Amino acid sequence: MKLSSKKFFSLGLGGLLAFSMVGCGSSSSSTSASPEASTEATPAASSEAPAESAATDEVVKPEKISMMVNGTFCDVASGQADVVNKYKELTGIDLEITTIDHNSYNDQLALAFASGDVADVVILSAEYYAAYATQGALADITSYWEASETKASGRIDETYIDSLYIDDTLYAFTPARGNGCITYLRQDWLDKLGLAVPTTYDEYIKVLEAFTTQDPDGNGQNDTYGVTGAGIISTEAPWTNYLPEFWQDSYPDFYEKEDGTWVDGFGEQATADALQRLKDAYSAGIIDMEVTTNKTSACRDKFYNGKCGAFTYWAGKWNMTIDENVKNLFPDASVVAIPAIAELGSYTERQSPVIAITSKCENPAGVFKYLFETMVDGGEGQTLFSYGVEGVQYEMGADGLTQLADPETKDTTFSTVFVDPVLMIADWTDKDPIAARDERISTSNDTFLASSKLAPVIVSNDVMSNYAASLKDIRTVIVSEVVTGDMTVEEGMASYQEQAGSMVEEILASLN
Amino acid sequence: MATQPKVAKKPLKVRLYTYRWFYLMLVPVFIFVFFFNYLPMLGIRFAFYDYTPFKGPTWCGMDNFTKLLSNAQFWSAFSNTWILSVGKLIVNTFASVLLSLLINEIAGIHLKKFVQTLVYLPHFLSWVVVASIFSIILSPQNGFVNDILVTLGILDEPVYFLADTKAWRWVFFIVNVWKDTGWGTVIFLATLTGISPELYEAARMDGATRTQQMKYITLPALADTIIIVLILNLAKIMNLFESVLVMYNPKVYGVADVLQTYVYRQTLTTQVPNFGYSTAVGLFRSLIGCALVLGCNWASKKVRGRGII
Repeated sequence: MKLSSKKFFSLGLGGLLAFSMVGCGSSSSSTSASPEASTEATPAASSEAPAESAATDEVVKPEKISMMVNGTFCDVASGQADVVNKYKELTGIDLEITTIDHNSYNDQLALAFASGDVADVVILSAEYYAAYATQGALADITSYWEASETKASGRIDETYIDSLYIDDTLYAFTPARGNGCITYLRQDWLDKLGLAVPTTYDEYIKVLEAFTTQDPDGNGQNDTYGVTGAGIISTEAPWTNYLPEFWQDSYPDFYEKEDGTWVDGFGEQATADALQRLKDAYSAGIIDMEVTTNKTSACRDKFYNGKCGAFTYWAGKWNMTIDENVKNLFPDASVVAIPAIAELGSYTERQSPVIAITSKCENPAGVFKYLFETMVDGGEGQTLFSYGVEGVQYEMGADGLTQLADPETKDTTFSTVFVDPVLMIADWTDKDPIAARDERISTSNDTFLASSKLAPVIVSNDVMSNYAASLKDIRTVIVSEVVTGDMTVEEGMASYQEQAGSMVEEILASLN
Repeated sequence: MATQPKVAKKPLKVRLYTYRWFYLMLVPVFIFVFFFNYLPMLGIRFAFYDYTPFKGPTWCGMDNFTKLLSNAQFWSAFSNTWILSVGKLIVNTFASVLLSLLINEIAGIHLKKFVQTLVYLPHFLSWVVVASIFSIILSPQNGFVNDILVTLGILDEPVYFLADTKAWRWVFFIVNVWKDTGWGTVIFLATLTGISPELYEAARMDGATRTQQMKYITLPALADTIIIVLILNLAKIMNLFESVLVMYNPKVYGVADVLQTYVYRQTLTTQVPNFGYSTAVGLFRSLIGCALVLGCNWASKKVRGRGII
């Protein structure tokens, strides 16, 4: 090879390697949106003080707000860029959104805090809110809320904001209720088998047995079962989402009794009774055999495909989605959301996921006023963060707003940008702009609200954080082994005492 | 006999200048290795700190190691890591060698290449996809493995393989063999291709059967490669993670949970992860891996007279 070729080749390879190192430095986000762009954009950055002063009183309007979101915020394919552009039009602020894959959001959030490169605003579930707040990761927004126009307007159901106070301090805001899961049944199967909607546990079990043994789909095969679920015990509070009729009054975690003492619900008789009910149902074959390995997507598919006749899932818009998907395969099918059975009493509404301003944010007052308050302003901002952008996610007609097909999936209706309008805790200044809400959403939502109660408050401290992962493992394993028959209930509870007893004592000592 | 005159080495500066373009080409590689392989090793120090995302690292000495060594879950994960990794290594290596020998016996070159390509295609599937495929195949409800076994009368009723503590490890090994055996044949086939055909010819002329040819020619030629592959794979023995994460569940934690999945749950599924504790587990794991490689290399030198280090 000539010397010049060697030089060129070696320099070229060296440059390529150097260039590849630059490429390795990409952000951990999957997609993100920024104004005027509908493709991936820059990583999150802190809000900045404005170059121009367009403030009212002492609250300075930020030029840019960065926000880290999970799957609950509409993604780029569903028109996120249009939402960002509309927000800029309304407020003059650049909203930089970093979307993280829903399943790895919490991991990425922890890493973002550890690296110091965290957005101004993050979404947190109730458990993570309590933990992060006590660790000093979130800004104190008490004064911003107390002095806000939103609070003064009286349009907000303050119950949900009051439940977020930790030691008289507010560290996050929520524009919507937490919602909860409600049990859906195949009404057509009930009709075919001559069964009524169950109102008691015994009736519920009879319905599940009928779904399992009486060929409700009429295909001549013994290929259906009663109920499916994504795990016997859920991976997050309130823990008993997916099989509530069996859990009933059990709350398998720490909670505060009416007299103010903290106890471990997992060690109580109510949990032992719940495990026995689950065990009996599993051995009778009326609970999906794969319940310990199911993901929620697998459960939905099983219900859509007519493998089971009962499925407990989120109330509200999911009623419409589930019904649509079941009808896609079985046009004559119908789905009904049932009220809580007597022994359950009420479904559990989880503590609301929150939006929080991180302690790294340089202008938390501005973020609160221009982002949080915009989300619940009762007008254009509220419409934007719930229904989306006209022409993209909805269209306006004579009677009001009608949601369009989701730009991403095309065959389902777009549901919400971020704040589910069904769960919104802020009233509209005029009226809800939607022309007509799908009846399935309203029915399911009303049924849930009529029979639900708020989950126990979630707290966190250093001792709990130290043992949280181990306790979760121990409880999940014991529940799985007891219910699927490897242990009796008594053996399971004894094993729990043996493995977790000292941890539980330490945690209760720190709480009481 | 006259000794060869020593050729004087050129001065270092001259050598550097002569080969300057090659050194220049190597600079990005060194920078890359330094920043992405060596510099991160400074993070090992956090094994001796309490380090959460919100409070900076605070020295805690050996507390993290005390905690992990007294934790029953850790020891369960440690023993599972050994069992699953060593079992997987032995089973996969044996299967790869066997498959290589069989493929090597294929006469037609086109058929040989086709079979070779076919067997190492599963390697390119992600573990998430593989786990999904096998969870459907092994499902106790309408999975075809259970259907076949029940129809043939081998099982009385379907078995939930992925949630059965007795069956899970076998499933794990079988899935690993299916996915990775083909890829493992690449290096063994390359070695087999390099064996001189004259050896086989001479052996045939001496009346050696096919089995004897394999025993006295093929296997000894493969021995060095097998040892090198084993030693190199031993270094990764403690890194078992993805294949377990996608296939395990709480029901089989007792037989499936390995160190990496344990660390994953301790760090990334808890609200306030302690990176110091996770680093301590990682450091412990790395030390074991390093000791294994050195030990195996020493054993290889003792037995065969050579190792790779």
